Amino acid sequence: MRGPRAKVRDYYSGTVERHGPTPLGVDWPNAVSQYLRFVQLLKVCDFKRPFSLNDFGCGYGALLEYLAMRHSKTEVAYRGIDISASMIAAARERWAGHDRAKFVVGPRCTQMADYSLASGVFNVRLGHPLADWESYVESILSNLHAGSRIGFAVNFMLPHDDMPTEAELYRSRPERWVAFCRKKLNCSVRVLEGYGLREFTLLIRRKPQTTAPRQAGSRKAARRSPR
Amino acid sequence: MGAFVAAGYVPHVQEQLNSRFALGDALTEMIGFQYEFKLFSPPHTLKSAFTLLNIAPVGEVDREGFLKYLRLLMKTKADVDEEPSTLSGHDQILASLRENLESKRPLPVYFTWHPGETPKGIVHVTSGEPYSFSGETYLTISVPTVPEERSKKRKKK
Repeated sequence: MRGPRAKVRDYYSGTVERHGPTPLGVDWPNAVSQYLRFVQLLKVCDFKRPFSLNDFGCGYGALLEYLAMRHSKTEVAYRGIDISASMIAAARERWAGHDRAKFVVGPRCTQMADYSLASGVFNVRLGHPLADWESYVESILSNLHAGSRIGFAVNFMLPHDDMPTEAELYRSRPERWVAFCRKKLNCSVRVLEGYGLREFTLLIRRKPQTTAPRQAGSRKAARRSPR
Repeated sequence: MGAFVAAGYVPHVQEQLNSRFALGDALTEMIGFQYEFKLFSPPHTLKSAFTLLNIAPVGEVDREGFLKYLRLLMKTKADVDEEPSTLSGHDQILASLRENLESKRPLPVYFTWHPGETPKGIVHVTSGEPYSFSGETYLTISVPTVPEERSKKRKKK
């Protein structure tokens, strides 16, 4: 069986080739639901000052439309990353005139930014065994953490109360991923729910670096450091 | 519709509309959209709201016809629970959707159609139980339609 990344790449290359750079092209039903997700994810960012942003699973760069619509006054150095070369080709064509947007093909973020976002990248499991898919999710979360100076945000679909999760999709409760981000990534996590969509968003922030307790000998180190 | 969208597509558009406002996750989403984006409040129009929701017939010609039909509703009249409204059909639909989605207990919405009244048709807004198999109350919006044949005869004249 092919790994998750290859199947995900082929799946999204197919959607954009069928529907073009539109919400359907990235497997969202319409623009409004896409925007409502961006509203939640961008709550991790501080729009009072300029910042850099990794948009992992960027598709055709719909986030740029939303930023222009609601946050045009804030300077955002945008880097869109997508595993599908077709998707990145569509994004580059769509945003050819944008001077602060870059797009790269790849399975992970390779450059540090102030913040990273990933919208809908965990939802389509394509029949992969649950354990494999959750390992894949962990690897993406770890990569987003490594690539974000301040914090990152992701979303997951919630399960239905009265039916099993579809084999093609991945649904989860927040607890599983809140625990991962707190314990394994040592981050603070805020959960957003009840905004109209059957899903939740995690706003994940790096904890401020705490000063190590002063021990014998540490004074010498403190004296040396200014040189 | 009818004259503006191929008759075969009218039930398809109705299905899209009724699915978007159906009880459950769909209605919860619409409440979220109205709360965050004021989708059915000015300066939005039915055209902009439905375009954002991706509600339209599939083909380009019928899509244009549908959007033209939505503009045409600006020239129709409206009534609510059989009382005449001061708003146009278009604005009454927006107002009723807005009021419903912002209310404490929003109702699912059932869209249907009726033969257009002369001279320009009337949008009827009511509440009731449109489905005989369900006791659920819906906000019901019925839009005036012109039969395809009548429209063709008018064009020939």
